[in-house]
Amino acid sequence: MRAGKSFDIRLATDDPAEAERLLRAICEKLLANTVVEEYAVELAPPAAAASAAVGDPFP
Amino acid sequence: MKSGIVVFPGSNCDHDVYHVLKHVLGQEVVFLWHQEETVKGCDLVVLPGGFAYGDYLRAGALAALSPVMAAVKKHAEAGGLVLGICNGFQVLLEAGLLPGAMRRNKDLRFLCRDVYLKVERSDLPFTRRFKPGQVVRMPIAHGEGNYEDGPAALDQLEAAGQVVFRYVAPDGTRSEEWNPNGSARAIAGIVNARGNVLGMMPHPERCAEMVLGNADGLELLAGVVESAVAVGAAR
Repeated sequence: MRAGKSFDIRLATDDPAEAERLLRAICEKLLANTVVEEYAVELAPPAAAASAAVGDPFP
Repeated sequence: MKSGIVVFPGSNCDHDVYHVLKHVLGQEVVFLWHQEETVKGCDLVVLPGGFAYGDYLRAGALAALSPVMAAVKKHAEAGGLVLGICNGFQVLLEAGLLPGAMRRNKDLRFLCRDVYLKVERSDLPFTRRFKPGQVVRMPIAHGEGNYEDGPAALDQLEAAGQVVFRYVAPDGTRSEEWNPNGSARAIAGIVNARGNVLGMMPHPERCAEMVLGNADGLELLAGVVESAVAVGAAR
C-alpha cells in the first residue's frame, strides 16, 4: 500500500532541464522528507499541465 | 542564565515552558518570535509544543525553514543547549538538527495520556538529575510521534548512545503494549552526537509542579537550567 501527496506546480520557465532541476530542489528541501518518503517528478508542457489540473489552481 | 522560547504561529506550549522556567525555577526567559534572526544571547533555546505553521505539509516542515531556525542552528553549532518538546522535536528532525523522521502514530489516532519513560542517559545536560535507568512518568499529546529511521541509522543511534528516553512499562520493561505510537525501538527522545540538542515527544513542562499531580518533568527542566548556568560560566 502506498499513500502520498501530489502537487501541481506551475513554473516560470519552459526549459525542461531548468524545470526539473527546480522541482527536484523543491522536493529535496521541502516537499518530501527523504528519510521516510520518496518522490517523483513529471514534467508537462504548459497547455497540457493546465488541462490536466483538477480545477486550475492558477486561474 | 537566559532562556529563549521560540514562538511559531501555532505554538501552544510556549507559555507553559515560560511559566515553569520563570515562575517555578526563577530564571530569566524571553520569547523568540519565528522571524527573529538571532537567539538574543540565550544560553538555552526551547522549541515548544504546538502546531507550528499549522503542521501543514508535515509536522515541523515549514517551521524548520523559518528565520529563527537558522539562528538556532548557529546556537547549536556553537555548543548552546537546545530542547525540542513534541512539535519542537518534530521541528528539530525536519531541520536536520537531529536524525530520523516522524510518521503518524501506529493507530492513526492523536494520543493524549501519560506514558512511562526509561532514562537511558543520565550524563547529559538535560538528564543530570535522573538516575541511570530511572523510570519517570510524563504526558504525551501528539498525532505524529512514531519515530522512524532506517535500520542502519537506528543501529548507529543506539551505538552512539543517542537514545535518551524510551517508552516502557511502569516497571521499566519494554513491550509494544507500552509503546503508544509505534516508535522504532520505543524511542521517545534522542540527543545529537555532541549532546547539546535534545528532542523528546513527552511534555516535561506539563508535569513540573506537584500541585498538578506530577513533578517528574521539573527534574529535567531544573537540570537543563543548572547545565546552562555551567555552560554560560565556562564561556
